[in-house]
Amino acid sequence: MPPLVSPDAVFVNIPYDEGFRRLYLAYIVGLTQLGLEPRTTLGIPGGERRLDRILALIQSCRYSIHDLSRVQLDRSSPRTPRFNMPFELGLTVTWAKLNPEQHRWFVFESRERRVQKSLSDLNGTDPNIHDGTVEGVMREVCNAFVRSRTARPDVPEMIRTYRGLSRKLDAITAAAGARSVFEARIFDDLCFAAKAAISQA
Amino acid sequence: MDQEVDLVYDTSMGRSVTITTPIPSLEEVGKRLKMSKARQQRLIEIVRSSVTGRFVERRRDASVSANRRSSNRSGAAKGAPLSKKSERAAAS
Repeated sequence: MPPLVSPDAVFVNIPYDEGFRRLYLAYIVGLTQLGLEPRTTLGIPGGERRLDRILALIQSCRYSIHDLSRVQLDRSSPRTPRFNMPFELGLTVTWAKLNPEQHRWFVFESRERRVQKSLSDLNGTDPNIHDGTVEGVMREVCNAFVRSRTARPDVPEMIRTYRGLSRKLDAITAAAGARSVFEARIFDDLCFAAKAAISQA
Repeated sequence: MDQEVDLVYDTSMGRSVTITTPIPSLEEVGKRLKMSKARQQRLIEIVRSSVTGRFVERRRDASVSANRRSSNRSGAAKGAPLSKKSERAAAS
């Protein structure tokens, strides 16, 4: 029995590493400013049931963003590319094919035409290209999710929120006693802090 | 067969979707995240605090000084003692 679909939830399928920290925060701010609810696999523990929980997370979200911009080999030996993002995209596409009314997915990339090479099965679809920048992520999030004119935030507004929140990032991490922003607790804190920053403006 | 594959992507991968659900309030977001009131309050205080963190200033003589923004700066204006380095800079 699949979980109930949350109409505002967006599964954000991104790499969790320091090199992606700025864009990670940009996704949180952009989606929160649009009134959406970002969700990630950060809170899902390892083990046998991890895959079931990832699938349940995808099923519980009305939308998903799959950022396929991290195609490089990592630094630790043995050097490998990251397959988690395309794998979770595959799970999502299957779920969406079986339930087209319940899920919409988006592919984000930093470079034009690269996904046609790295994942040619997607040929014929147009990914959202964010250029690897905070502004680009916000622009593409706004292109993907459109609100009515009266409730529509613009990119400069999002950038202001992002700048304010990024200055507090260390304080938020320290207050939670966390070592990295890529921890489940910090993710929740950042979602709330982003909303607080938006409400303050 | 190719036709079928195209249909899959056309129906589920969109260029844009229109969001019509209401934008949640800060309280609703806190509730959804199952966050305690104390934790919410702590985060609100961090977000709204005027101290925004440390920054490092490199001077012309290549010496490095770290300062705090906003509130500490106003603390100095209220007569907080200057460091020896600041005194030397003021004298020159």
